[in-house]
Amino acid sequence: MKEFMVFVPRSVDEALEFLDTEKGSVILAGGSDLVVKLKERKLTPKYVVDISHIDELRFIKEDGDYIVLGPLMTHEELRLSPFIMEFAPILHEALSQLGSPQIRNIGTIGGNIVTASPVADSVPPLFVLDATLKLQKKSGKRVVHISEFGIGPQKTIIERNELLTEIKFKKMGAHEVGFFRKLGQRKALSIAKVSVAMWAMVKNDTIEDISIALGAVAPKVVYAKNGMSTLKGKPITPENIKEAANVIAERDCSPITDIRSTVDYRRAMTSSLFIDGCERVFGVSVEV
Amino acid sequence: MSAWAVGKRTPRIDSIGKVTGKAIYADDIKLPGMLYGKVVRTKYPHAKILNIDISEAKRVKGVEAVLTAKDIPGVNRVGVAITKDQPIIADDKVRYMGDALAIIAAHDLRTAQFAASLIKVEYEVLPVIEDPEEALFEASVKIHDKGNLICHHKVRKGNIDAGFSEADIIVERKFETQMVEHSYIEPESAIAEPLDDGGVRVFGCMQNIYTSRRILAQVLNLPMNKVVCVQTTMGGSFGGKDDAMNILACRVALLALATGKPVKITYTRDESMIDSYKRHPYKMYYRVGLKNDGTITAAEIKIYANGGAYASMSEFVTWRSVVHATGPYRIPNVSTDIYAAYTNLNYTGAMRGFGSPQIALAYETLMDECAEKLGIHPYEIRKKNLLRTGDTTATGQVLDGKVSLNEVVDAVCEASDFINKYTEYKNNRARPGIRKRGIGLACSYRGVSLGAEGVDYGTCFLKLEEDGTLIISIGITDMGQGARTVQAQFAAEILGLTLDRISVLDINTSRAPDSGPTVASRGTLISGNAITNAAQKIRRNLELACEQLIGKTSSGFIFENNMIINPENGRAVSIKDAAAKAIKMRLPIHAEGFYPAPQTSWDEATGQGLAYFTYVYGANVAEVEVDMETGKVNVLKVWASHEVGKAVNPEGVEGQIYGGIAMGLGLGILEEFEFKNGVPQTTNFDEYLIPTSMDIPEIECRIVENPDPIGPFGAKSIGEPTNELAAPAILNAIFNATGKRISETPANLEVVLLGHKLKR
Repeated sequence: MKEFMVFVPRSVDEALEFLDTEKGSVILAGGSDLVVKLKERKLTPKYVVDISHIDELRFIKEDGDYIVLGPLMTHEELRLSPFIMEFAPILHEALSQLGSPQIRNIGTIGGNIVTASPVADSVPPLFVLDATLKLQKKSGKRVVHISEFGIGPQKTIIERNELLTEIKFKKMGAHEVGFFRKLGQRKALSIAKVSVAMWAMVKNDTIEDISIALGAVAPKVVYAKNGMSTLKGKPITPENIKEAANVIAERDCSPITDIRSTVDYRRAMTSSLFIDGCERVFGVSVEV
Repeated sequence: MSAWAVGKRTPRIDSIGKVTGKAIYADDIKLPGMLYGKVVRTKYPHAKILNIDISEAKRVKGVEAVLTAKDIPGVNRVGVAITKDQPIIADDKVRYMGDALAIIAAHDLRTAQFAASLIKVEYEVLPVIEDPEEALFEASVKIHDKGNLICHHKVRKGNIDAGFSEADIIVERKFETQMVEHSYIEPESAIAEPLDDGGVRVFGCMQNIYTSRRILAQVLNLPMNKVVCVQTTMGGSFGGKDDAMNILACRVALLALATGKPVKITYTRDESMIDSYKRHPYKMYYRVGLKNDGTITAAEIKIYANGGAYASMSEFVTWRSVVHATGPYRIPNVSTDIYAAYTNLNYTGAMRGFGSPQIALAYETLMDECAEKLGIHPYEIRKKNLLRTGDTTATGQVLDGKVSLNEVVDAVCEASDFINKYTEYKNNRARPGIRKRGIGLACSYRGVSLGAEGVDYGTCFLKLEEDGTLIISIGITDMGQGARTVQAQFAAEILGLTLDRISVLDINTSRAPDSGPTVASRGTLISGNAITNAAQKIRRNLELACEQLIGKTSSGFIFENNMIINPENGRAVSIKDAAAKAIKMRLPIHAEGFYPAPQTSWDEATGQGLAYFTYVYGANVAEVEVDMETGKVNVLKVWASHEVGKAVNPEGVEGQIYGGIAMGLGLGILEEFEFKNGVPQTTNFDEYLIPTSMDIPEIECRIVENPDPIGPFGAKSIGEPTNELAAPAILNAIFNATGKRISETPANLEVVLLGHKLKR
């Protein structure tokens, strides 16, 4: 009894050609998520396209003011990359809290994005870093913003014949700070009950620009738009941070109750994590 | 006696095979022509079975057998304690999601899985009961014909009304503990092979292979000498591979006998979680009276244990609870009732601690609450009430052996600076700050071995070979706790052998006689006494040989380092030569060892009696840091002290302490096997959270040795007492840090922050 066939392309072109002609394919990069779904028969594909041997998708490079990543980079490779540590410390912080060494060694950044879980640890940092994704198919390519990519739990705009081939974001520079905070029940192998990423451009103790993204509080990772507009252009004060935290909890979260937590707790914790992160990067103390 | 092997830090004799990957686990076994089995389970937790149609499944190419309850030649109601109520394959109804409706054997697993999808079942769905108190309501649907009460035990001592009227304060509290999975790393696996004589041989990770054999014989309608059970290397058990493995053994054996071919079934993690029994959730109502000086005058306790779908060990688990429910304290007036009831959740049975971790959570956190209410330090209130040598327990037993509670409590309090830190952290509660520290103490006493719940003896066979090596055959099994190593140490001690000269055989029911189950932390005491008995017999014959070889001595020969020495003349001979001489003298160098445990007694009507023949004592202190904004508890360090009689292998004792605390931490703050209308929700380790290595704190051990006259070389036990103290110590530490009393487990983020679980 054959359940599915495995196709192992050696190049992006070979993969795109196959995806273009054969319907019913799923893509395997690291497999940390896909293999579980196959085992549980939540997915019953005709083909598994194993892209893990396409070396051209495994890279990290500088491109002027930007960092460009291949989707096959594992979480651990990126976590240990000096580029990421220097130019995207928010992503480094998130990857350090992702899964366990075993999962970080096999899971890929591309897989984390395409799986489109609202709890994916690498996605909120990519939101606040304003990342773009290159999606390629046989007949062409398009570039989309990370915030447009996911549309719901395990749902994205990627077409069945498209492959994520590049992730690109601007290097963080002087005056730019940020954090990633995650709340889980244990110290490793913990799926976030809530996560918060923030990036800000700070000059003269004023927040010139800010981006905040939330994980696990909506069907997908979302921007905390109300929180962002509350703080943009404002001086860094405990009062302003506290106000933004309240706005985020009340207006930017739409959490659900599931096995990992409850609505009220998630809402309260989003605010708490945000304050905790701000206290550290801004060096202020917020009374709660 | 000089300590040559007993008491030495000894690496496990089976560790090399495990760490090099050479150890053979059940799922590693492949027999020629072997088929793969699959269990077809119910879609509903509680339903009558109206019809099962297996015709389509049977027609699938590659399927060799599809069996239902009708195909069972013997009994189809089994159990490990008193009540036999669990079917190997369900017949009239299903009572929890793990119940099997059919079993399939096919050439490969996928074919078996495909055939399983073709089985059609008609059900009449029945209401689901999840709560044991509700199960006992008159109007509740009956899960078993006899009703939903599995058992009721009680203890009555003194006069409860008089006790409460003497009290200055009365403290009442309700406690609830959760359902916990054993989380052994190796899921259940067994292979059955038909034998030429019409019998069957089953290889697998059965914890108690003699129980498995008894049940196999009944289910297969075979005599016991035609059923052979062989225990494979076990990847953990923690009490969890008893019933579930006995039933799996029956399932593979039924398929093997039906097809005439070997059949293997290995559960996936999800199947294991859904099928296997768990730790009983307890609902406990405690009421305690105390005088202003902290003296306890009375305790009234009512407990409802969630037995799940089948009786399993409920009768014995709750009995251990009723004996120990008042904790290690001197209480003149006691009334305790415990009821176990059927529900439609996973059945609950033996798990490390066996009914003691639940009650320890109640009495130890309640003791701190009483101390707080009376303005007494938790250390002082314990010192005032702890049982001492010569005191009488709640069941009327006079503790004439040495009671070491004060020693273990002082050991952990000193090592952790508990007394000062508790006061400091308590004063710190009102000060500002997001992260608060806390420290908590918990202690217990625990009856060793089966006690009045069972017949207790051990037996073994020792065979010295002519080259001076030794083979031990014994029915007390090693499931990772280090039994083989201590067994070898006992023989080594008496016969002067080095451990590399000693083999402990794999266990096969047809070779070694039954020594009862390897449970209740009885392994070291029971097997040690049996081995000592056999080794002494061999030693006596070697001494007779030595008298001829190296001369007589009135001060006794010294057996050490594979040599026998006459201390009077300094002459020495190797054990090999002594063995050869004994053989020439026609003296046996093999021996049977037997050890009958001392008698115990119990009066079911009054709940009074000599519950256990000896006790062990332990204490833990846990220090935590609580994030007051998220409710996150970071366990910083745990100090543990246990009185074990004699530490045969101190390294093994420490290993047990580390593991027991890790499991206790899981019970206290992480783990919960959850259901929605009787359907398990946490069937794998992504949602069922056990501690990772990152979550386990530094642990400091203080082993206390007060040799027990009953134990071999004074040794008692350590396996289970280590698992009942970390959780209450952590909960007490959380209270010390936050001032919030937690009376339900796990104390997860929501519970710590809000004081209760949120309705999901």
